[in-house]
Amino acid sequence: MASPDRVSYWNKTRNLMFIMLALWVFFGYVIHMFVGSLNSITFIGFPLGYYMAAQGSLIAFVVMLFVFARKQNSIDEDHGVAED
Amino acid sequence: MATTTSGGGDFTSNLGRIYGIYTGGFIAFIILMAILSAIGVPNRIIGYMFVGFTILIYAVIGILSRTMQIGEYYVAGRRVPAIYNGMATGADWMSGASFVGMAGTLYLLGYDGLAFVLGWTGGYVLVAILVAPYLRKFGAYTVPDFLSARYGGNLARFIGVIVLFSCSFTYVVAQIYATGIISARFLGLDFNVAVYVGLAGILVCSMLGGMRAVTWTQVAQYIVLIIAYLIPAIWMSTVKTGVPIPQLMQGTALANITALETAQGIAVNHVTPFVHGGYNALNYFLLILCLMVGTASLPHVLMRYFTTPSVREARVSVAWSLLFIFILYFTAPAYAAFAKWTMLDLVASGLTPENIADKAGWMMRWAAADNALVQICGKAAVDAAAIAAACTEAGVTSIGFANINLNADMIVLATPEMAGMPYVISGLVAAGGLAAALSTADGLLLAIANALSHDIYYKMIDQNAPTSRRLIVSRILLVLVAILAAYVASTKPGDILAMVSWAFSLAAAGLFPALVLGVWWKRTNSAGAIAGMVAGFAVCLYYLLGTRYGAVGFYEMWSGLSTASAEAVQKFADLKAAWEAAAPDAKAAAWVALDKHAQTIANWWGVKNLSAAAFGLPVGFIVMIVVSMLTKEPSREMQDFIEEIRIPKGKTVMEEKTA
Repeated sequence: MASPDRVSYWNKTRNLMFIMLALWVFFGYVIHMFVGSLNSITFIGFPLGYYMAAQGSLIAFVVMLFVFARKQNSIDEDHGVAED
Repeated sequence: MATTTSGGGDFTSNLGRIYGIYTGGFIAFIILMAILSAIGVPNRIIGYMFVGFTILIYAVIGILSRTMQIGEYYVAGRRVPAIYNGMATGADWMSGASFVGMAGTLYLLGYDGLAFVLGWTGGYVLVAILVAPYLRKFGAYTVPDFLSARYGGNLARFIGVIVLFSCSFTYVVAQIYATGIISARFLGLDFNVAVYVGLAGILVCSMLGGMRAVTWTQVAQYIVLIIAYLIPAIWMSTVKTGVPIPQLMQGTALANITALETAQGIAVNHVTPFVHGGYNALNYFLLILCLMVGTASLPHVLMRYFTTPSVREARVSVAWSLLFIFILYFTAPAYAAFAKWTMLDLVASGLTPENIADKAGWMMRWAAADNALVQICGKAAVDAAAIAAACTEAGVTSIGFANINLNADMIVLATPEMAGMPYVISGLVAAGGLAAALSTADGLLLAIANALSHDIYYKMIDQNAPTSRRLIVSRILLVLVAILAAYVASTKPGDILAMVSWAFSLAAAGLFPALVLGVWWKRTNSAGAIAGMVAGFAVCLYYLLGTRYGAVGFYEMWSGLSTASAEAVQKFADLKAAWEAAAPDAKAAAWVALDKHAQTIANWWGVKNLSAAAFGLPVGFIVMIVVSMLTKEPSREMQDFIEEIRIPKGKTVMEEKTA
């Protein structure tokens, strides 16, 4: 079962997972810890810290998921484990 | 297969056209209602038509999608294209509370309410990368199915069913309650009757066709609810700023809110973080965490991804789901901001007890419907005289923003009146709220009934049951659970409604570690998983129940961990002494006062009850890892099984007999 190709497949999949999780932590938590300082910047009329929680992070999540689906699919295809 | 695909192949290739016509038809219907309203058809009739027409459509879809195939009933034949599954998930996900309550919460809590917006969207990142594609490859019918296969046996399955039931049942009661409230308000029915009308609306969608029928009605319900949510927001934005994009113009609204708040002498601004409703930074972030992880563990959401044709489509489908959910959730803060701006403007125009009947008659209508919804100067604002009396007593001559208390749950439903929109919009919003509540109720009921019929009856009681009997049992259980939920809802259980937000913590603590480690860490074995699920769920439940129903005992046991201030501790001691000293007939009242105070200080490190998974989740993970390490590693076959679900290629791991 654990052929070299499978090992490399799973390593790539896992790396992608950790990258996505790191981005998730950043947009879900880290950026909002700086809401106070970000609020002194104005972005299309919003205080930036508020904007990030109301819209910015949400947009990031949506984009992340489409990118993830695409990247994971190309990993699948490179390793010949994609569905027919 | 000839019978399964009858209408199936044709149907899926024509989906775009079918739902395009449907959307056009719905918009034409709204315009027709506007015309009827303009020529003098009474509001009551307009309300009936909005609710009746939309429920009729759902019923027709439900009946057309009836099926006697197991695979169709449980997972819609695994043929739902990613984008439509995304829409169905959107409706499944956005409950009556999201639709009706969220903008209201944002109105009241300002920045701090955004924890809900973030938590209820970011969770989908976890769904996509950690859980959904692997469960799809496994090929389960239910979430406990996976637990049983991965953790060898019916004990894990049974614990999974218990967690599933406890987080889904309270949730479904709240949905039926919401349908009852909306039907009662807009159709003028008695609440007890309205609850059963809502129940009938739910059953026609799900009973005959199971997952297949629920899928296609949820797509239709998504379209109704999103139109109903966007139109009032676009309306307010156009009236206030001239630009019909509320999300973009929210910045302007915020600037105006801040200016008006300052003029009103309100110290705590809408956009100031970590100051509203007891949400300090710690609770804000913990709530986001619990909601996100809970999202990735709620069975009625996860099971939607069992219906896609492939693993690849399951991943794309999560992205579409989030996009469709995002459309509502990034409108909600704008909705709240425009509603707040409208209210602040109203107050700034000089509101007094004398002119309030002319300027804001809607407040009195809502207060008359339910005294708790609108309070001015601390009393129910049922009519001008009551307001005048209350304000005189409070020494208020000009009513300020701070004197008006609006209930979070009425803000979305009342906004059309608040902003002076025609009644058609109110009818539309009611239809949208109903669509949101019905679609979520359908998904939840199916999750519960499937767990009982598939996991308990078929897998644990009678493995030889023929397909036809399994389907009949599923339907009977669905109806029984639905009736039980409607009965509980008809008793107006205040506590149950408060418990809805608990579902996220319970699901997160009870299921998330077992699901994630089951895929990502081969070393997890049955003993570890079972111990971890029980421990995580138990800690979470203990914190939830202890801080709410046993607050006095909880506080006394854990006073060292409580963040109570010195005065609060003293007050507790005083109340306790008063209770001990009270005469027998005054004991009960003294206890209520003591318990009420204890609820505010019974906590570990100041963590709110809502975020109980903050403790349950780490406990679940740690116990699962430690116990797994201390016991034998999983068998060779199990490790091969995990290898198998990690790659998309090949058949689903579990093949059900479907004949």
